[in-house]
Amino acid sequence: MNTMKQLRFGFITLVLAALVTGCGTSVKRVDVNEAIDLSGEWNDTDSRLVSEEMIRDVLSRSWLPNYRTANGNALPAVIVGEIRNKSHEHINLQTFVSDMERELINSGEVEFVASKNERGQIRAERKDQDIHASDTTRNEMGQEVGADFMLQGSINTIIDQEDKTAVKYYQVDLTLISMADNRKVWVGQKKIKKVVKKNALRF
Amino acid sequence: MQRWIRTVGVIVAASLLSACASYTAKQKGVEGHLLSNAPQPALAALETQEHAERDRVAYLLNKAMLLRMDQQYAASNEVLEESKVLIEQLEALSLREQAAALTINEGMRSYAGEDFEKVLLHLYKALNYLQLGELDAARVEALQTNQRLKQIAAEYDKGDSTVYAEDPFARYLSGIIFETLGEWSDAMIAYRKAYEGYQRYASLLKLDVPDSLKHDLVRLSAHMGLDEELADYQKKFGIDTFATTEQRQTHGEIVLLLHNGLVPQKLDQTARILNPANGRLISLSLPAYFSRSLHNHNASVRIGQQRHTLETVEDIDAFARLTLNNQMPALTARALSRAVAKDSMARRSGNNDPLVGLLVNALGAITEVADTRAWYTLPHNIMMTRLSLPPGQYHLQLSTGFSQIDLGQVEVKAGELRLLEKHWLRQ
Repeated sequence: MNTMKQLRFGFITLVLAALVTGCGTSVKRVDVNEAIDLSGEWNDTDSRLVSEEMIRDVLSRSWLPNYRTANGNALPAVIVGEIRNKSHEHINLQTFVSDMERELINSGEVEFVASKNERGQIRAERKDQDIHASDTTRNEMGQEVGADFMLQGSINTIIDQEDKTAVKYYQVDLTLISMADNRKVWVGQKKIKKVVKKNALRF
Repeated sequence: MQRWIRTVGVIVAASLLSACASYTAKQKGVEGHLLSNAPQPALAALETQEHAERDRVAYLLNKAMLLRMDQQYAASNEVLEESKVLIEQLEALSLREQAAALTINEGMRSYAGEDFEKVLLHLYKALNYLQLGELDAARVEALQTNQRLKQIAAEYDKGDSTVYAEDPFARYLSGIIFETLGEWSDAMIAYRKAYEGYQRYASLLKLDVPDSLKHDLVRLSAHMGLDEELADYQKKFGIDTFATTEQRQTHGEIVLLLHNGLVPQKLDQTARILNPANGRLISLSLPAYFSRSLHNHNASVRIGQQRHTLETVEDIDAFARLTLNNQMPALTARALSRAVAKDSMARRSGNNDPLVGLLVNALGAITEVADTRAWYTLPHNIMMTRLSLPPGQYHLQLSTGFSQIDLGQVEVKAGELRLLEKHWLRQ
């Protein structure tokens, strides 16, 4: 009799367990600024922190007032060049670059020139306007603003791993180069260090 | 009471029987299409197959390979990325699965890929990125290859060829990626490691150090001003004249890879013995590899009047066999302890009710199946040639032992790497 009770109990537990695991997806909305680390890889928080700090730094340095004094208070025109991912991870550089562009443009301290890919589309549209748009609304060719400075950089990583624990070190280097004479007018660096511990056990 | 035991018995039996057919047996359909060089129908056959969640990594790896055979490189990489994430999660130990593996069969464990498969995952992902022209992303995979090999070496490496702890071709490809990016020192390190790897596994892989790698080592050590190393390599390899890095920079490069044949087949070997003392059945199942015959031992490519021979740079067949050989003692021990556990379970249930005892014994025998899950769409070996050519249009024709394959017109641009690949499986 005892065995039967045990078996019945075991069976009911199994059925209950099957039902519980069948429950649906749960969604919780969170603030975009909240830092949530899941895999330990480069994520939105890293992208935001680095871009904010870099831009704060680049705008507070002497190259900006120097340029403005030399050019009758005109704002420098900046373009984002190549930012290379030299890290161990596939990083979406697009969000990082647009984070930086936004911060730079909104600061009002610099002017921003469309990047190489964006320019192609604009030029095609201007060509189209040349044929189809009325004289009063047509935008002429050859009126583009040339960039004075180009922002270039890279993301590097060093990973040290021992068993289930890894130390991930990210270094983001950015350089602002003068288009006129290849002078480096600003070099920025931001480092991020994370300790990632992986579970040794799972269900 | 008996009614209850029987009901539970039937439920358990039904749930276990689904785990019984060997994995290899389920793949016959896919393999048939593969062997007639038809990736699309093979992909369709794979996708209609049902697979248990614990077999998902094997499914994803095979799917990714079929996708790249069909030249869907971006889709292939998405699937490889999914399997990479899954493999990382599965690296944590599951006590529940361990217990099931010890009492039912090895296939109850989630398949997380063998070490050599985990390295090849990065290799094929890097190749996909090269096909897509994303050199920096291929570089990420080269770094991850290094990371993975480091991890494997930390766990098992004895510095000899008795375990898989280094992959010379994965290193070689990393070197090619770094060199194309102009990162000389990283390329040099990777070439050196490839060279060491080929030497280390020479007797196992029955491969010589590829001639192209010898030239790469000479060229790069000269470029980096490593005079002693250069002299050493030149003496060892007997290379007097070579194209310098500067000369090659005005050229473009074609890297031609032939993914040749298929890895050996993992089959289930089951022994069932009737114990005459008590009439109970004892079963033991273990996996075994059966190599497939390889038809292309030689391949060459013709460009205009020139013929270049492809060299074998990777022997996946040998690494697969080495891996299984090393696992055999543990697999055998577990199969034996499983047989004892199953037998004692049958004996105990038989004491209460002979019928239930018989049922438990039969179930134990039926569920004893070897774990034959594998990335079975991998090639037997990989052959390669590196061609440094002046910019221009070239027509390439690949000859293997039995056939001529037209690779069509290829444009070579200065400083750029063009990857050409062919999967050849026909038997």
